[in-house]
Amino acid sequence: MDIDKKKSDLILNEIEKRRLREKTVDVEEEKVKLVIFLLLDEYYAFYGVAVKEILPSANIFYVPGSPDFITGVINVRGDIESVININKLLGLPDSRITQKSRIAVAVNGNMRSGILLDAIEDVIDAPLSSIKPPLSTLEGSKKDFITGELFYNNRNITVLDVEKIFGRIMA
Amino acid sequence: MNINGEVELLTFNIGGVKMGVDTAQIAAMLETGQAEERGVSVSGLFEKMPFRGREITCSAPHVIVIKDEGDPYGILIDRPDDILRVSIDDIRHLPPIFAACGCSKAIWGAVLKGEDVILLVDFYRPAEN
Repeated sequence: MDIDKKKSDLILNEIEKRRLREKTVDVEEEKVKLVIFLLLDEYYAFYGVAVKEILPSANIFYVPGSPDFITGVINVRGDIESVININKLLGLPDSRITQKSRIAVAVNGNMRSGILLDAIEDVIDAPLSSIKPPLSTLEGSKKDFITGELFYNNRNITVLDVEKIFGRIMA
Repeated sequence: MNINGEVELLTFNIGGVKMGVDTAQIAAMLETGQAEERGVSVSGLFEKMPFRGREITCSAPHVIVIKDEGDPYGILIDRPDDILRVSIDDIRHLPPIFAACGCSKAIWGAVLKGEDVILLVDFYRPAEN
């Protein structure tokens, strides 16, 4: 039997080549910023490009005559910003406002508004390929606003589309 | 009509919501008994625009009588708070979502007072959009 004394070297070389190839793929893969948040006990995300800033939950002033999906308005550094109750749009029960509650100021075209969230979980750069299309079997109000799903840190995260949310409000 | 640099507002509270109305719209401020005696037709603000769909009870009810080309009419409010002179520069538009979703046009702006937001109500604008 021929003994290839260089086999192990060849294997190690191959492993290194593969590792470098994977690393190159990682670097080149397009990433997208996601703001991951909690609503009740479920995880959701907005694309980071749609979130202008995240504010601590402030005193929210109810506006009479407004629909139930508008929680009210807040004072943001001397300007007035609206706050959406996203639970209502998604067909979820109302959340309780706590110290962890946050208001994500979302922007799409000429429309902007705060969106009341139970908590911000994380802001991540996720590979675009990790976001899968939503399941076609989804039911309920929620499905109209979902743009994708991903699995992150052992959690299923539903990606919501701010444009669709604002679109529903203006419809 | 001339708009000078300031608006005088009567601020009041109703159902925990702070509101302000241009005093130029107000003919009188009455207690509810006085409004009855004068035969003023009175309606609750919550009847014109829903307050989360519930009726509001006033702990210290007063009636603001609104000037009108026809008979003046009264709006039931909770206690009046203050008279404020506010520069027009300090009046903020409501965020665009309120126009986009067909909310009542009667609430036309807001003024910040400390940490509070005072909603400006115009009784000449339709409460229903």
